[in-house]
Amino acid sequence: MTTPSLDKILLVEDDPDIQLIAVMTLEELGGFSVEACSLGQEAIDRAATAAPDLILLDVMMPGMDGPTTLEHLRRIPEVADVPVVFLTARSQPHEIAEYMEKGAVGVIRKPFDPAELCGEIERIWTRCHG
Amino acid sequence: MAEGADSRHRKLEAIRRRFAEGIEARVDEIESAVVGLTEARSAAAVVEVLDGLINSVHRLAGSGGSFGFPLVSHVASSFETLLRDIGKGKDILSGDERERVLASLAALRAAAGVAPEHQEPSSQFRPGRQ
Repeated sequence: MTTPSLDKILLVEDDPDIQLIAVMTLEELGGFSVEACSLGQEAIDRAATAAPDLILLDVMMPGMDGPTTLEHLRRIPEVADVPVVFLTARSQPHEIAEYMEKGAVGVIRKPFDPAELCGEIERIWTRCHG
Repeated sequence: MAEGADSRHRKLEAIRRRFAEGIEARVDEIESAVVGLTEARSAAAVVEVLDGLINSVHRLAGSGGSFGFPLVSHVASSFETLLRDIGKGKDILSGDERERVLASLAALRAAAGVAPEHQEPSSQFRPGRQ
């Protein structure tokens, strides 16, 4: 079975610097199409029309955090089954286990190496379709 | 192809430069919050300042390394852990806690002043252990 193509990523990240470097890296190094949101509610409002293949979701955000945003995204039919990868600086083993229990298919630790970000996402994508 | 790689490199360097230029201001903001925290005379005042301070330090922990400042991320991460532990007490800071917070701030400011080429995390930077 071939792995489906990963083309579009919905990035949900409130830190403008991290959002900027992530978008640049994903688009220019990875060749992905990226739609960026700064808040969980914004992601919920745009998810259906964004139609991403994968969602890269920050954990700590003002207002609605990442796990809560994920719960809401799972109720939107268009993205209910879209793989979600958490992006977080809180990455102790027990915290990662919690994120996976909440339904993430992977966790990328911050700070991430821009040169490695696309490779990490592609490895997670391949693994979750394997 | 070479032009594309050069263009990406220049963009990445521009983003990193922008981050580096703003890092002192971020530490200044953290310092202002630390002053508020160490001078707080009620549990309510501590809670009010601590949430914002943790958020600011957390953001630095999660971003520094992506922009060529891994030492900043390392120090900020330890500082964040200290602040979260203090937050569990929900009380005004003890003398020891005050000293550890101030030492962490000093370590963070020192780390932010280290040039990117010397930014490897080192055991010499141990917030709260001086």
